[in-house]
Amino acid sequence: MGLSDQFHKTFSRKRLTVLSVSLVNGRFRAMSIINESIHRSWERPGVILRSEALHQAISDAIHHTQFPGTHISILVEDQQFMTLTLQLPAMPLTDLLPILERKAQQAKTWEEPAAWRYHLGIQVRGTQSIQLEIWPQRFIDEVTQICEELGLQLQQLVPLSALLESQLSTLPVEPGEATILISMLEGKVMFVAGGEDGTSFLIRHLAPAQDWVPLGERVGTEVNRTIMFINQQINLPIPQIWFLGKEEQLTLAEVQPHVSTPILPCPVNPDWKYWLWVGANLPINLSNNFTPPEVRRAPMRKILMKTAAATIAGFLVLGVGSTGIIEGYFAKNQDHFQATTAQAMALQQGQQQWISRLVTIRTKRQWMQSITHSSISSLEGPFLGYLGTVLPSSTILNKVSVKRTNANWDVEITGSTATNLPESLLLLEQLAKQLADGPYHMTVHHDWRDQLLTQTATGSTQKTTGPRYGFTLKGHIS
Amino acid sequence: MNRMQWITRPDRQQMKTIGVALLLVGSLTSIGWMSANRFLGIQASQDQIQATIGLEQEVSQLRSQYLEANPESLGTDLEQVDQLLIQNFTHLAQWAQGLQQQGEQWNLQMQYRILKTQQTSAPVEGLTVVPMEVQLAPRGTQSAYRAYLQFLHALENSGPRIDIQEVTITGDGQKATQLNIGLSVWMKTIDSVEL
Repeated sequence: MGLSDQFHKTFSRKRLTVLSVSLVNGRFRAMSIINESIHRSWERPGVILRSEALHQAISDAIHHTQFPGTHISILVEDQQFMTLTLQLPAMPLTDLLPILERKAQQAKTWEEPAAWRYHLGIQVRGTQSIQLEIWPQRFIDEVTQICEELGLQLQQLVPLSALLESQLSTLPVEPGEATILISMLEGKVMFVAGGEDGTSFLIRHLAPAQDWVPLGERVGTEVNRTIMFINQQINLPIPQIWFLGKEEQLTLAEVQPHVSTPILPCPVNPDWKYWLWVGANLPINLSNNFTPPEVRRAPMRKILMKTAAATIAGFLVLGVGSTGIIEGYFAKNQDHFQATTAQAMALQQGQQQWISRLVTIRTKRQWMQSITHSSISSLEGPFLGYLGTVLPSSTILNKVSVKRTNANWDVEITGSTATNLPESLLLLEQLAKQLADGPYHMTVHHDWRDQLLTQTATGSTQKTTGPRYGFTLKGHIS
Repeated sequence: MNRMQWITRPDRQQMKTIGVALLLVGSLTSIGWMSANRFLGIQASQDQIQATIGLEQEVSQLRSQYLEANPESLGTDLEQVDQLLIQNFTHLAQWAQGLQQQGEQWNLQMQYRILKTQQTSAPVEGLTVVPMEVQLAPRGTQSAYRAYLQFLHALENSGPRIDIQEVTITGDGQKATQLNIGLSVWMKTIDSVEL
């Protein structure tokens, strides 16, 4: 089963609406089926010989049957069209197809190219039974073009014999048995043998009329041959034979005397409307359907194209829509964005100004703080005042120096005492102690004592004004 | 041979399919490109809005910091600090003259001189440290030790910022005869002139 057939099965589950047409030896009949119900039928008077007439006939059929749909199914029977039953050695399909092509070209009775369909039958003892249908390609092309011009979708273009094969499934056949259907349709006699599942495994056509032998006898003879063949090759019993045909052409009573197996009339009594109904319900993947593959795939292609177009349109609409939304949003907020940009620039300028102001004020504050807080308070005056209070009365100062060095003050006190050495030592000792213990905690260097004693040893004291001992006290205040 | 089939020239239907696919891809690409550009623009604008909000907060903080720095009192504070600085050498001379007059109250004769060669830059920008030497001597025969102490006190409270480096009192065994003060004053650089 091809992809198109699967597709058709999947997507054609909707109720059947089809214009079923038969063209049997030029006679045109049509019936519209709407939602699986027969609507109207129409039979064209006269015989169709040219494609222009067929075009007009189908157009008229649409009108007369009030057909609202697009599908059409056509059954064809023509004297020019050929049906061959071949017996060929079993072989792979790749080998068989060229042979069938050559057989078709050999058998055709017209100049133009031939189209052919085949149906594999029973294979017995290395021999393959093949049913070969051969039509003019031109006819198929014309029908296809007419349908296209009329806006119709061709589903079936099958020979009338396809109807009879389908009738096998309507006959009651018991398991393990076979049956034969004798049909007389439009002057052609066909034998179809099949099993319980309704599939045919042997199809035979009666050779052209031989006037010197009665038709009933000829049919009986062929039936007997068919029964014998089936019994020998397949070994299936055939308890009964079914007969389907018009009484005015051939009657069951004319055949039965020549066949031992009972022949029964078919349960249905078909007319042309019945055949049109059956033809409309034939499976689309029938082996002898002459509808070109590209035409059969057209619905799928159309749906795929529509799906693709819808997808593209959807994508475009989605893309354009989203772009439009984004553009709209962008345009709507453009003023806001510009205002924000201007605000950001103004804020940046303001930020720079505020930073500049802040730096300026901080620099000035820092500058002021450096002037007001970096100085070390003066110590000189208070220290000299304190020195005046602790200086012994018998001590004379020549020089007092207070010198600032970084955070310290170096102090040098130079003078002399007006008393003897021991008392001088005692006085200076007290002075040094008071300076050290006083509010300024002066650190006094101890070399003043050596200096004082050295004066005694060298006798450098002045004798005229009493004992005088010079001294120099050095130290520092932190 | 089958492997080479894919490079065979596509038929008309395949060309149509390829054309439609290329058209679709091209259209979607252009739409996507335009949308992406706009989207990036919107994203950038959103970022800018966020940055603007952050900038507003930052400016607000700067304004608060500026107000906390009390800019209204800056002028007054600067004036007060300005009182601590010698404006120029004229001001310096006036200030020294005031000290001389104060010294005379305690019978002290004051002399001063500016040590040009020792001028140094102050640690604060815009100021110059002017080193000076002040000499005081008593006009009479009385000891001037107490007068020196009073002068030192007056000097320290004379107004401008001064840094006393050295104080030396010398005497002759009877009284304090001379007071030397090494000091420096802070003077504005802008109004200073080269001596």
